[in-house]
Amino acid sequence: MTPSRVSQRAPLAETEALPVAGEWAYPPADDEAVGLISGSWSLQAARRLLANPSAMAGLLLLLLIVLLALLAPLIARYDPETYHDFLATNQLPSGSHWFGTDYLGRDLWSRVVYGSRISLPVGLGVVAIEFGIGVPLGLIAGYTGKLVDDLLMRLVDVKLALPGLLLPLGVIAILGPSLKSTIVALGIAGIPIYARLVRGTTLKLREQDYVAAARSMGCGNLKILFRHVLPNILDPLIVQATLSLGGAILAASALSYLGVGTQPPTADWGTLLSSGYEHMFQAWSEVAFPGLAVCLAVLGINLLGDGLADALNPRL
Amino acid sequence: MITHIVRRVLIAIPTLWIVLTLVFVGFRLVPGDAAQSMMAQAAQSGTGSMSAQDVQRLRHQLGIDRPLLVQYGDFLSHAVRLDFGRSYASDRPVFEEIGDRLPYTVELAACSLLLAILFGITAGILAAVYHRTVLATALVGLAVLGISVPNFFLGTLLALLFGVELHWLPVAGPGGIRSVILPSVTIAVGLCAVLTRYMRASLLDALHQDFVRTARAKGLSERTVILRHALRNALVPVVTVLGLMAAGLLNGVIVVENVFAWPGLGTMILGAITARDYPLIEATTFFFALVFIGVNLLVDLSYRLLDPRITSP
Repeated sequence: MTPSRVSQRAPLAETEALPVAGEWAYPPADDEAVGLISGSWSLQAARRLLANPSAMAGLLLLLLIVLLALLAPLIARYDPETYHDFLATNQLPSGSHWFGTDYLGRDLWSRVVYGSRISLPVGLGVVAIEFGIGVPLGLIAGYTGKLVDDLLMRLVDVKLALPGLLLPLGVIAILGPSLKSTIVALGIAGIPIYARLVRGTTLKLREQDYVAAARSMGCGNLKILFRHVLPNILDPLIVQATLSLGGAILAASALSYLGVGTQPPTADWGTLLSSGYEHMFQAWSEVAFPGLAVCLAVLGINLLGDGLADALNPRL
Repeated sequence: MITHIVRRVLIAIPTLWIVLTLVFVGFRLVPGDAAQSMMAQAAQSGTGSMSAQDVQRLRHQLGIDRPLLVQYGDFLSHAVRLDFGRSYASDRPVFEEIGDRLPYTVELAACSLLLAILFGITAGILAAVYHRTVLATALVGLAVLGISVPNFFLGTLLALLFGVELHWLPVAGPGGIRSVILPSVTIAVGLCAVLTRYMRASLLDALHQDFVRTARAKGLSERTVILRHALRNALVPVVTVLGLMAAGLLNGVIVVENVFAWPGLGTMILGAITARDYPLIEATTFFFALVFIGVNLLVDLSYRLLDPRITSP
């Protein structure tokens, strides 16, 4: 991503005690940021993040949704699955049903609130798989090179050659449609992105002097990878993970929308939207609110991700 | 130049082989097979129920009762000759099926991409040139919003507003230029947002380069500096993204096609996966991979036009 910064930062880990470290290592491109520069690298980054209003708005939005998910039983006014009012189906928002009702007379507010308990963990699960498998793969490929690297790059090519949802759809066809398959399918599809990102940076870091120094001091390969290489690729990885969390929530709701994700009666936001689609002529609220929920969650994540990228990479 | 192209084509062959093998093996791991799903469909539509013997006979007819390795060998030897057989569902040659859908996909892809380039690149340039102004902040904000909206939600809203409420535009199926407006706008919003972000970041980067300072010092007008010097340099990463977008669009947009009942390749592959139509899945995947590789080659060649420093690697 930013080779110059990565290479500058690397030796700093050993000399963090130097009081001026922050100043000569990271010439700030932002003139107004100058006054803030002091303290350790992560402290500076945290300060830049806190000073970024849109990142903070994103964080707030995200916290709000996490709170909704945690407090769902208290906030939801009806049971999302078992409560039916067959006399009041496809209702528009009202005092008793804040978001209206669906075609079975279920309370949409409660269903949207409970939907966050599916969409957020799905996103996290997907990122965990991508991260947990993609990062070690990329490290190994970038560090050892040769055969493993060639093989991995071919697989990345293959993944890229398959359009968007085709690979997840295929994996789901094999595993059968369910929440678990959605997570696995999207996770597998995302592995190459991480592997490629980590591989590229590792290739560059491998040639750095401090890696050679560590090796000459008798460090083993594993120790070099985890103590010297991995900490230096964490920044772009954190940004990538945040952005792909949003992407995963979008993709999972798209799969649910197509009917191969979460299975009824459980409903995530995508399922709610697709069933609302059939009744949107009676009640627009049935598509508007679940859709809005996805939008706000992903918007929050993306704003935070952009803020993180700016904070960790002040040159842009 | 020629050797470069030949090399790239040769590298593409193992990629294509892995893609085909993955698809072949993958879909045969799926529980149930084409014969069963055809029987289930027939039973559902009431055109006749089939006995276990019928299923067995159908399996034999389709050749899917043979050992997997034999099927694989047969499949590869036909694939090399670009013969993927006939669709199980329609019994027509698979490339005829693809050919039927391709014009719709190309129409949708071309319109979406055109809109995205027009608005996305312009917005990106403006956001970089007017960095740290209200305009730039607004454009960047819009772009974040654009990548956060799920396209099936946006499509539904547009259909509800312009189709159902205002009756301005048709919301389902193809038919004339008016019917392509809503689906292509839906797709273009997301692409536009991505292009804006790339264009902005890349141009901002270029504007801080030494050659831009030199150009300014020479006394060139700001317009010339931006359009002739900075922009041209900034376009390389944008063209890469554009290439990926074009390839993605030509391979059909499953979700948006689904929302607007658009008969493109996306809805076709979705149907083929559900029906376990192996030949159709295999041929379409092959076609997708081919398009992707072709577009990427074109993108690679276009780098040389944009940046004369880039020569054959």
